[in-house]
Amino acid sequence: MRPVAVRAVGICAAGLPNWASASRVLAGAAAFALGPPPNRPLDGLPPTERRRINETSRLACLAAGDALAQLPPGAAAAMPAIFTSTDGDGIVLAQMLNALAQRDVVMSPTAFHNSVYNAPAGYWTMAARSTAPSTTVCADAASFAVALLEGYTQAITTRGPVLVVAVDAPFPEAIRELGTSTAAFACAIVVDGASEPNKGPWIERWKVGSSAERLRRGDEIGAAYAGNGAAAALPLLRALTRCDATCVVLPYVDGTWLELEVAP
Amino acid sequence: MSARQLTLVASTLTNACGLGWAAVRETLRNGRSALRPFDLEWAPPFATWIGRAPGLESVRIPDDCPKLDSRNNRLAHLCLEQDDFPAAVAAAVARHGRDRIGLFVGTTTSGILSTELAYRARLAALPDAGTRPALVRDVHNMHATTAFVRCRLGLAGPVQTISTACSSSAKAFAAAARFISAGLCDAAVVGGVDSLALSTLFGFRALDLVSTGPCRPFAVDRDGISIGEGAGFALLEPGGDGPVCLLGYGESSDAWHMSSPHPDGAGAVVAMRGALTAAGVDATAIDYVNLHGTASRANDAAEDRAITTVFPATTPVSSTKGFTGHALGAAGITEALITTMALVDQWLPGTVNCTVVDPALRAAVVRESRAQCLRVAMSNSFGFGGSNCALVFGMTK
Repeated sequence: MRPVAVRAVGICAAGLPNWASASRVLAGAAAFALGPPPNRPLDGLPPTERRRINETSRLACLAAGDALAQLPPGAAAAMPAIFTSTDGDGIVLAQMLNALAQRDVVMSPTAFHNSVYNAPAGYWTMAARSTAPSTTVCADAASFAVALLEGYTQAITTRGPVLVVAVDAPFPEAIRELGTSTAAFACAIVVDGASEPNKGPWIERWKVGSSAERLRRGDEIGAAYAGNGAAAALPLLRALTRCDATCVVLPYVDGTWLELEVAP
Repeated sequence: MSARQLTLVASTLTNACGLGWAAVRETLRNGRSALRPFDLEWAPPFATWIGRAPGLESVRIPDDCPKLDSRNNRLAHLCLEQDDFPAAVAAAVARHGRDRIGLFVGTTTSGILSTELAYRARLAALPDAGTRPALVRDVHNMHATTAFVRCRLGLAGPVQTISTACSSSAKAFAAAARFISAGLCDAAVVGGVDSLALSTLFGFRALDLVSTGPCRPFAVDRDGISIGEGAGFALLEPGGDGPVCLLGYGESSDAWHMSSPHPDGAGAVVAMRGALTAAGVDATAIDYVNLHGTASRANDAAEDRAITTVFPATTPVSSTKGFTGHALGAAGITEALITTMALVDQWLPGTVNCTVVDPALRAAVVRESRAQCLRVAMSNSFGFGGSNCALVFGMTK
């Protein structure tokens, strides 16, 4: 498989508010402390949409915005976007389930339109004023790897940059069985299939394997986001902070792994 | 993006019109709407019509896959039992290997009905009633049905669930074409499965988008959608043996509103033109467009503007949602396959339930089905979040 360049990385997670600070933490140059999810303003959305936006869409858009801020202005408007989530938005789901359990069912129209799995993509394309294609994919615990592979195929077929965004967040207590995140985590990565080499890290040597490779055992940061499907991206994000080539192994489906080589 | 000669080697579909191709074809060719007054025993009453797949209540999920009983998985299972589809996939596995066949499945609600009913039972139960009805993540998760299908078909290649509202299973074709073109697989099973659920029924009602009667796409008196359910699968293989192939796809985002289309259909125009470019054909080469045609006032008006922007005023168009209902995440595969049927049968499906076409709409709406020479046809799918996808199919050269 062909290598793709990594143009930008963004993050919006409890304790890791943006890539500028998260990259220092992941490189071991700053201490990690889990805190509340970032509450910075979301640019680009009209006020009505900003009032309606659900939590996972908000986190996903902030992570995407963090990545796009590292690229020339206007890049977002033409960039295809791929979103993923392992469990979707638990807050919206609980609200909908409660409404559906009443004798007289009265559903909130906003809750319903926020309940679609592609709500983050919908809000992002509005915020970025992007009419480029967007998609939303998932595959349980393999969701991040599946979105990254979709990003890879789009990057090499368009020979340009694409945005990959992953988000998961804790579910309300009443439906905790359906979503296991303990802390909110959203990240974004821009991969570019343009053929001319450029400065910056590359992902190469993509391979799905079922052999003896193992995920790197959880460290303190990984443990803080236990059960959060989007945080499966952490080993890749950490590798992108290193200055030597690193093999990254991401969970794929049915006990297989997606293996990547990250070159600085 | 070009998807030249990606042949549909096999396909199957199941929806309110019937189980498998023979039943669906008969209902369509007879011009019968399969919609019926709302009669779901497990749901609160609701004055509307629905497209209900027959026999789901008595389907038994086989034991050779993990126990994942849900309405959605029953629908997937029932669909896969028709048309010898698993045998066609097994033959492709023999040709390429099970790890070289991708699986791309669209859905919007997966097994959510099981969660909805369990949660209702929980709230209704007395505090000392004993067992709490379980919410089961492996049934509820958006990927649950795809995992079930992968297990049923014995596939081990790349996989993804696509959930982009009502464009989901149309976009499965686009993803499969990219994965094959990128060399990640040699063939792909694409499809969609979406079943009736409380959240979609009452959610669309909350948005005032549900018709009180059978939906009437593009009609002067249209007043909303009829929610349906359905499943469909196709096996795509480059250079494979089959009468119809995917020639191209186009995708775009509206960047306009979460649940309303751009009023001029601007995003739809981009998707349709993208699909034409990818297929290497001019708008005049399209002999038929199967509309998204939901029968909501705004959706049909926006799509009409998009169609008349892209195509000559004479290009025949129709919506088949009056037959099937709106199968949401399965609408893309359902209508893509009906479009391929139109090509194979050289027959143009009419817009059932549309008695008087809205005079404000300018597209050449075909009300009555008719025989027609068709070489290239398009299928449109548009969804919440402004997600648009157009597919172009043609006769295999």
